Amino acid sequence: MCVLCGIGLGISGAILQQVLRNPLAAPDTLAVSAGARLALGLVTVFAPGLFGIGRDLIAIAGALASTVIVLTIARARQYSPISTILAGLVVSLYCGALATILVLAKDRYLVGLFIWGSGSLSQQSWQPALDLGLRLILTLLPLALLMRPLSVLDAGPELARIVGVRVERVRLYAIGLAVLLAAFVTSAVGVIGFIGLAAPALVSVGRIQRFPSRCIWSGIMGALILLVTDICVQLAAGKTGAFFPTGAVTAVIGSPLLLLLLSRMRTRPHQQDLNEPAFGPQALSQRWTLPVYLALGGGLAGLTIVLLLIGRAPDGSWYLLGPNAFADVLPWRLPRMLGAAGAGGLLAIAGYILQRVTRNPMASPEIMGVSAGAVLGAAATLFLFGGSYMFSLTASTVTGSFVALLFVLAISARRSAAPERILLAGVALSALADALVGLLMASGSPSAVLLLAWMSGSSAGIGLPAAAMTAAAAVILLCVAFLGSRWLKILPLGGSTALSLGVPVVSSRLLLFVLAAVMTAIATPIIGPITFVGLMAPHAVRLSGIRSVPAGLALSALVGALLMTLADALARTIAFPMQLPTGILASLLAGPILLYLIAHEGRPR
Amino acid sequence: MTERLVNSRGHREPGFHAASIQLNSATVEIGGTRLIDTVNLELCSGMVTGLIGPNGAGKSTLLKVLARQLPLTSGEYLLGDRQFSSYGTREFSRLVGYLPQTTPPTPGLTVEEVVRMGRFPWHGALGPFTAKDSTAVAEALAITEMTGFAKRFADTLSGGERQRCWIAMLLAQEAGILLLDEPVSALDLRYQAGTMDLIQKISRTRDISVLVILHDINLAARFCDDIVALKNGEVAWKGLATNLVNAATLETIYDTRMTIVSSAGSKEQFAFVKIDGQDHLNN
Repeated sequence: MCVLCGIGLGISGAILQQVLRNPLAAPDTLAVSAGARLALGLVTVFAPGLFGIGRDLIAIAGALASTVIVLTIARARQYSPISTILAGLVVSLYCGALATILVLAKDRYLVGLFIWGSGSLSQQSWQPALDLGLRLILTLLPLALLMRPLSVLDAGPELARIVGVRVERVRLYAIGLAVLLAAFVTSAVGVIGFIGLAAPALVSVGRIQRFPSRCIWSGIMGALILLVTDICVQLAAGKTGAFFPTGAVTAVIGSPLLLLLLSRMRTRPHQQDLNEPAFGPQALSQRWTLPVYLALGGGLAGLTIVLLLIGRAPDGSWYLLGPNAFADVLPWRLPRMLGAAGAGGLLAIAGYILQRVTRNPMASPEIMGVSAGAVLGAAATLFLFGGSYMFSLTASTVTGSFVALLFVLAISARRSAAPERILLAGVALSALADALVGLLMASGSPSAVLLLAWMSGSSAGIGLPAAAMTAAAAVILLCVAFLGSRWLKILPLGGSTALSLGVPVVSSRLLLFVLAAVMTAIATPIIGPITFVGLMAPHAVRLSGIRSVPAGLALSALVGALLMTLADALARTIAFPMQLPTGILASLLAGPILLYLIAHEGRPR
Repeated sequence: MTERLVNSRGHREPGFHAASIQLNSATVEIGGTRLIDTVNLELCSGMVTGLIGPNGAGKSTLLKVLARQLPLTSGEYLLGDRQFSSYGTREFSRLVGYLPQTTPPTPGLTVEEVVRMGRFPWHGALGPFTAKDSTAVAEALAITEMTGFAKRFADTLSGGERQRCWIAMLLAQEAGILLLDEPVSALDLRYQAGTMDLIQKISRTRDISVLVILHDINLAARFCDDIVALKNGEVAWKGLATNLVNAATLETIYDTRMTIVSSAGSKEQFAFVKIDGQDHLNN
């Protein structure tokens, strides 16, 4: 069974990387697996009857839907590698957020889904393996026909077109096949992380040049990795009697492996892409003045009050609080809103700083793995010490995000570290966090539920002092960030120019990174690791035509705070009497906007 | 004009009169490969020195070393009367300006904003942007004739205008030494001459020493005062620019046969690479 899954995922990844000419493409990063998983989850909860049609069809439909969304967005940017992966990650996280809401809402049904979601290879009979094998063979046959045109793509789409390959059509078929492969595997055993990304990456380190052999080797490599992992898991399970889903373990093993290989991996010449959707549209250039800020600040205050007033009665009807009740309810609603706004502002500033310092429009605490580090820290505390005390949790969160950022720093400090590489490291780190959490979930410990609730970012439990401290931290750190505005203005021009202008490149980067880490560490415990606020807010600011750095910082903070305030109010009311996690709502709010921005901004004019 | 410019540099380090660079048996090794081999070099103020040589001769490496972008493996680098390493980051930038071969993209920045960045070595991360700073920016824009472009986005300019924008930034930096890595190779003929003319003028009026990497020998001979030719990391030839256009000299530098042609109306001479079967050019 696991040999088949490995082959399927390995080949699927190899095809996607070849077709999109993108070393980061894989079923995981293009949201193929996530789509399949979400579709199966949705059907389980809302229409179990549909399973009659067959799991495979549902999984394929989900995988296709998410892939089509990703590729439609990528198409608007000519499949530029970075935009493609960004879209894929966002859709993937989005699906994850929806799945988490499902779990929280209907947990009774879905514990099984979670286990399945982390890819369990335990089987009762040979039948599923035979089924999967048959399906894989049926998919691989047409692939053989596509081998030649796909090999030509090595030389680039332009050349392929010249020698008469119908590039668009070949791409379409090949991606279709890759999606089928991944969907079959997902449907049979669940999401097995990282094989699709790691196997072809390993093969490309081995410098195998020709595509057909790369394809085959990726399959073999995938099977090998999965087999070894599965045997290890079984041995471990035999000893401890614990049950671990193999898929989650592959990610745990696979992501550090990938990180290790990163240093030796040839980076294909795609770097120029990273400069392309850089900072600031050229069309707008109006100056934003004090009145605009006052208006925005006033808007935030007004909205906050309105949102504080809106609530739902026990019978579910909507109502606005009267002045009397206001005083009663305020202690309940103010802290969470204040905390959410402060955390949103912090993440947004951190995102703005990271984007400018790394010269990478995709950089953000969420995507660079800083938030993931915070989660790992929290998970470690919860499971090693079993405590859920706010203090130890906070301490470990801060440590976690520092370690994650140091790690990213170590990679970016190397000479000629492509921004691509930093992102890949971040992605790997996030996947590691995801996988570990998946593992812990499956272990069935009561701490797991706590961790899940924490991860999804519920600001509900926050007290007024903590909330006020978060908001104050946001304001203070914003002021600290203002001090670095001139650095932030020059650093995006690159280390060489910055150095020749007398900017202390290394120490200024370090300081700004540390600032971003502190901000993330403060914000993550309150709103969880998966919000897109840190990525979204700076982009929104950019699109509004703000170019000056201090204005960008301030406005990012405002937008972040606004987004989180809105998300918090929605989280409180939308599924009344249940309280949805604020962080997930924020990502549901911001995700589509972000996807729209990726598709529509910075097109060649 | 000239006097006013000199006055605007009143805040340059005392004791640092003529900007001068001295390199004594400088050697650079990267990954075991010797890129620069015991090079001696001296730059005088108010002079344009052309750095020429075949590809891979170490020209860019040498410039990066002088700009402190790359470390020196051994040898001595004196800036003024002090070791180069004794300068702070901003202090160094007030003295030495560097234009890399490929200038970075400047998305969302206007020409004026790019030029204002040149003032960073003076005001630093937190210092106020003073009237002195604005004057320097305005002057830099005026000299490069970019005042009319000040509000344009730098990325929307043509290659020649963009290059002038970067030169304006270096001028605003008010460094006494300018290191330019192939500032004209991406430009068309008219802009090549225009930019070199501008560089020469700046060097004269501001008493700045310029070290400029050039590929076009004829351009180098015309606009430079001195020439330093590198080959395999060593100085292959050094001398007055007027003595450069000479078949024997160029053949030792470039290892290729050259043809020298005199222009009909003037004493100017031009060098061409000789291609087999085209000996009729040689008369």
